[in-house]
Amino acid sequence: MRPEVFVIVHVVFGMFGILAALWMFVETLNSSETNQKRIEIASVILVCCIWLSYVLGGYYYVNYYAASKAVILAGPFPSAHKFFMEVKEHLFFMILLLATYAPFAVYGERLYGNKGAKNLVLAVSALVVVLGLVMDGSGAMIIMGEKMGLLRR
Amino acid sequence: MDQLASKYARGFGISLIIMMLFNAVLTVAKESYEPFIKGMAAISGHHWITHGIIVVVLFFILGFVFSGTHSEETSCSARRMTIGTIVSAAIGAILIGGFYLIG
Repeated sequence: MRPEVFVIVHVVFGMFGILAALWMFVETLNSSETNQKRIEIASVILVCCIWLSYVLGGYYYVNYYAASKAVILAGPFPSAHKFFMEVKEHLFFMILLLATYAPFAVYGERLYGNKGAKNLVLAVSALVVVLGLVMDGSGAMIIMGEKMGLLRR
Repeated sequence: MDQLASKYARGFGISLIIMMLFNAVLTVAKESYEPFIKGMAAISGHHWITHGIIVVVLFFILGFVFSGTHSEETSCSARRMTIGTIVSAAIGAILIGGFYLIG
């Protein structure tokens, strides 16, 4: 399998994870007895997508990223690695933890009758969306850095 | 009602707050002290893999420990848990982003 496939699938699952977090946020915002199950399903999809994104992206990063890193650092936009990649690879752990926590925050709680628990789930899902978008933007910068490095050759 | 009903929501919530801060501190520590990052790399073959294992394993250990403990410390309100999560995420993100921005 071509290594690029891992990056593409990493991004796809990351995007699905963000969408699941957004879905969870909206359902929680309108939480009632009827949509408790949907919030639980969204939290499970969220954690599965983020973990798949982590494992697949991590596999590419550990085994293939070194070549891209060399191109970026030799190119005109080294910050693509020095700032964006470094921040991305370490900030991602926060998303991983937030996503892993989501089912713990949802299962066993009646969100429609507990404003405190509802706000907690809203905060967790919103943080995943915001940090996820930061990941997406950073990914775009990394690709831009590599592209600029290759064009200069 | 402001208390979390599930002991796991409480326990893992506290663990989440601690681990998001710990993740940022570990990042700054390993990048600031070369023997540390080399030691982490030696454990699993890559410092990032070791970092991930430490963060995830500690999250689960602390989560189960706090879930099994019901005291004044762990019975914090959902409101405090929410604020703690947001503040922890903000501090973690600022620490990591700021470190690489300056470094």
